[in-house]
Amino acid sequence: MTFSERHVNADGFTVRVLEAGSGAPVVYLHGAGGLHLTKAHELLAQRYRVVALEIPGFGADTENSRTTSFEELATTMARAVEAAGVRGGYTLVGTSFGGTTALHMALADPDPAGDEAAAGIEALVLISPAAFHPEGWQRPAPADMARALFVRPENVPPRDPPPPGQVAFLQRLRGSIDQDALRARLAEVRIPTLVLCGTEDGVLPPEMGRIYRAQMPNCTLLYVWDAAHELTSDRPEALAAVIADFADRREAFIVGVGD
Amino acid sequence: MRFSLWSPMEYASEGLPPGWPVPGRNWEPARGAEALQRAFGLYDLAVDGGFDMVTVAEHHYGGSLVPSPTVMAAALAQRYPEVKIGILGPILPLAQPIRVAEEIAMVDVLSGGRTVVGFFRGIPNEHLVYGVPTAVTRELFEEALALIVRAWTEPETFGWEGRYYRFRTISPMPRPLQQPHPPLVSGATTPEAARFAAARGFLLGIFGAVVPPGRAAELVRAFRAAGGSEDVLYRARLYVAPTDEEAEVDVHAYGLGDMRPLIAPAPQRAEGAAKVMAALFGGGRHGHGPSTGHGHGPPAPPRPEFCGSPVTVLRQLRESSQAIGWEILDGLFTMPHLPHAKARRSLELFVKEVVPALKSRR
Repeated sequence: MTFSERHVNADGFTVRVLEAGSGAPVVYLHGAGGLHLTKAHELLAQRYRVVALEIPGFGADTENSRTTSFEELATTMARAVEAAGVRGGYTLVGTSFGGTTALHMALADPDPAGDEAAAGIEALVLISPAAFHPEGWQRPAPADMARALFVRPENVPPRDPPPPGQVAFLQRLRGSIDQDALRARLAEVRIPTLVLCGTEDGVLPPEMGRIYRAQMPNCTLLYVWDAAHELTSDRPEALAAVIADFADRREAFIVGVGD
Repeated sequence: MRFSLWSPMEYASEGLPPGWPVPGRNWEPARGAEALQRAFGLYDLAVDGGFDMVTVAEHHYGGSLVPSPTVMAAALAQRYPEVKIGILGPILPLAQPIRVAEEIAMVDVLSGGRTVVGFFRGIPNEHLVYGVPTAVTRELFEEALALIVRAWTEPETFGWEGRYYRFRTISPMPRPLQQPHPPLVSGATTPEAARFAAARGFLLGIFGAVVPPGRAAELVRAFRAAGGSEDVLYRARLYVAPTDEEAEVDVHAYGLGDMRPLIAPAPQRAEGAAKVMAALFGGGRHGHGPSTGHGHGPPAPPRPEFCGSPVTVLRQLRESSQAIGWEILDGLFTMPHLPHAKARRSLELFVKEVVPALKSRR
């Protein structure tokens, strides 16, 4: 499965788009480590039109000194979805930082289901979402990061450290979140939502997933065994199967249908 | 020092064909019912004699009538309202983990929060019972253990995307009375496994039949060094006779301490089964569960860990507890081929002459 690469203009940014497959659209937003496609994306693209967007502030030569909040980033990314030619309803998948972004996109577009003509997010998948963290939480030290991200870091090629501009961008957006206020707004998201947390996550405690499950009216929480923060790398087949099933059947995916 | 009686609820000590499984034609209903009452009689003796816990394990298709430890534990919890109920324990690779979590929670509530729980990986003949490939039982065990603890402690309804278990809606009721969950015993045959137990706040369980004393002491040191603050449970076989001489005669007459009648798929395959077990359980990520993969050179003839007259057994227990560092003795007094009357006498002698001496030292 080959992903094509192109760039679209959205909200004054040039956004890199990787795309493969056909069928109902699944839009993917990456985490703070940048846009890395895995086998999970390839498997998903066998059944869906997978559109992976690179968030402005990541990539080879982009620097984002403009965006100051997830609300702004959500607006930018919603426009990028449109610019990428995604029409009608779509499933939005975001991992970690991208999960926080996806959540804010859903908050800005809370319930399109009532309006059949409206394009928008019809189902939301948050992978290791990073919107909430425990009090006193600190990111793992750089030396511990690989093991915090992956159950088997030795299977993952080493990544370059982020450039200073990107670090500033991430810090600025993370610092913009008022966790209490965000928590109070979670109930506004009424679309089917799936939260996936790795049982071995060393970046954020997987129990953070409870917050979404408790507050969002149509949310399913799934713990993924033998996976750390980067679920699409640690359990690609499982992730692809679960997301495909959820994108297909939405909240009814809790009903077993056999293999 | 605290005492627990582990009963395999044996069907019959005499007259059964050797090996495993025991063909169903050997089932005599009245004898089976009587066997359970006889086993309860041993528990009665122990509880009346000052034991602190009664223990059940899980066994299938043999002379031990405990296919479901939670069913048996529920009965024990009602019959003995004061002592701890040791569920030591379900063979996780054979089980549906959510069902295990639910049933143990139920027994914990029924018993007023008296359960102590240990999970096992099982030995190859047990894996035959439900057709579980032995090669994957370590992974099954680790995932099931994590899932059970999660099921007991997760406040929100959740799903589980495992490598072996997949559930999309989990929310057991009841939860355990003991919070967050009953004390968990983690069996260990390697220092790594002992550290695993310490890191998770588990009790350390050591089975004397498969871990030699020197190794057991090493495990306890590893457990303590890793911050293990809970008790160490030592599961061992005991045979007490009026004199050392009589005990020695019976050890040889009844093959006491020989595990093969319990584990071998068939008599002619006993040696092969032992080799398979040694190969499978010798090490591993955490080294859970029974092991025979230890030691070098020819093995010593099997015998109960504690054996002899009351005075001898008393001395052995003191030395063992001191040398290894265990606090709870989970004792097995019934053994294959040992007549029930002798097993009962052994426990009577222990209760009468050994327990008071050890309890008075506290």
